[in-house]
Amino acid sequence: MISRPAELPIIALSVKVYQVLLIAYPAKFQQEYGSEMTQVFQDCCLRTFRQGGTNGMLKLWTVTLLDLVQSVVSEHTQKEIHMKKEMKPEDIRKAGWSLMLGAVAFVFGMYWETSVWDLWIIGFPLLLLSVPMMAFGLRGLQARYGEAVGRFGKNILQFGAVLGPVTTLVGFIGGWVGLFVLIYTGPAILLTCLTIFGIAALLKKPYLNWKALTVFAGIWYPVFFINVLITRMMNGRWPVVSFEIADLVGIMMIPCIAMIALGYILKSHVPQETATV
Amino acid sequence: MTETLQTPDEFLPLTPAVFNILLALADGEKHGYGIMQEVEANTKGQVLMGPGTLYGSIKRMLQADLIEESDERADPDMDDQRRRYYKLTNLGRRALRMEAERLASQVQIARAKNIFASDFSGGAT
Repeated sequence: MISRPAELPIIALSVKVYQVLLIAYPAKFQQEYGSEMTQVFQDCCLRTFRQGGTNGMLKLWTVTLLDLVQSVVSEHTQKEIHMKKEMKPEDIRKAGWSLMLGAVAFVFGMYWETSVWDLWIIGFPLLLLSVPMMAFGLRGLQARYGEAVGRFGKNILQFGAVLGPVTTLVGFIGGWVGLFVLIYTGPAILLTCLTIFGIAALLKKPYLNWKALTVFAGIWYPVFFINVLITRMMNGRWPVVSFEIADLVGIMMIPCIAMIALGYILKSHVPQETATV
Repeated sequence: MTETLQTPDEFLPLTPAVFNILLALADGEKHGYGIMQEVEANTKGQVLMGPGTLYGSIKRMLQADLIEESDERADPDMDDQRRRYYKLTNLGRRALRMEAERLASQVQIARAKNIFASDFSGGAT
């Protein structure tokens, strides 16, 4: 006889993981429907486990993750319609700070996590934390400069701000089944979107005095990440990534400073008209 | 009672998710999991709606007054957890009927063009 959901470890764990993933939705949507969605997912787990066992659960998770990514993007896009009303000047300032701190957390997190064994324990959480921080920074850029850069620029920032953290979160949760690479793919997606936004800003209407700053801030990590992927494909195994102190100062700090400058500009130039509700 | 000023044809054509949810609610109110099961059964498993798509659609359908919340109570067939139930509004029922008529007329055109002929040994129906 099948016991109640809470007594089945695989279902209890699945429900817990699903509850964690719900943070990817806009807060209002999560508050309104989060508990119902969890309840429905639990019902699905119970039925699937009864009918298909562990294999059925794997299939359910595949369908659920696809549904999650699709609906998260959809809900954030819906929310974006009201973005101008929701993103108040103080939120844009906070997004500027978030971008600055996220850049520092990302660079030092990446350096400590890959290259300084003793500091791995600090570097890894810093790296994880940096992704939502930079994502919030991207939302601020979108609210402040999105209109000037145009629909494509706005959408690409939206895409990066949602898919970057979701990918990292899926990598973190699915690390034990070999999805760890997604932890590092998340910031690559986010910063690629920032770079594309920077190019769109150059082609459309320049929005900053330092016009190439956004491209400069975003491009280094995606290039580095693609290089790692190519090495993986050619050698058939993941290369050992380790940075020297010279890399930290010479390569990683420069885009980090560019992103800090971008965050500073964002927090310093908040027009009052953005505040109108 | 204030009646909404929206007309059902403003919503046509309905998205597959919205059409299937309205269809699931056509014979009575249901909770989220009940809707999901009904959609799966009605489409013979071809439409698998995850919780994200389901509640994203429900949110938009509530905003558009196509459905409304009924009440919150336990489902006697499942467990003792309380569940929120949803039901069609008049607008939702009219939108569903119009969409069904639209699809039926498309099927009629398909029949007239002998689309189904190859399925039957007797030729066109």
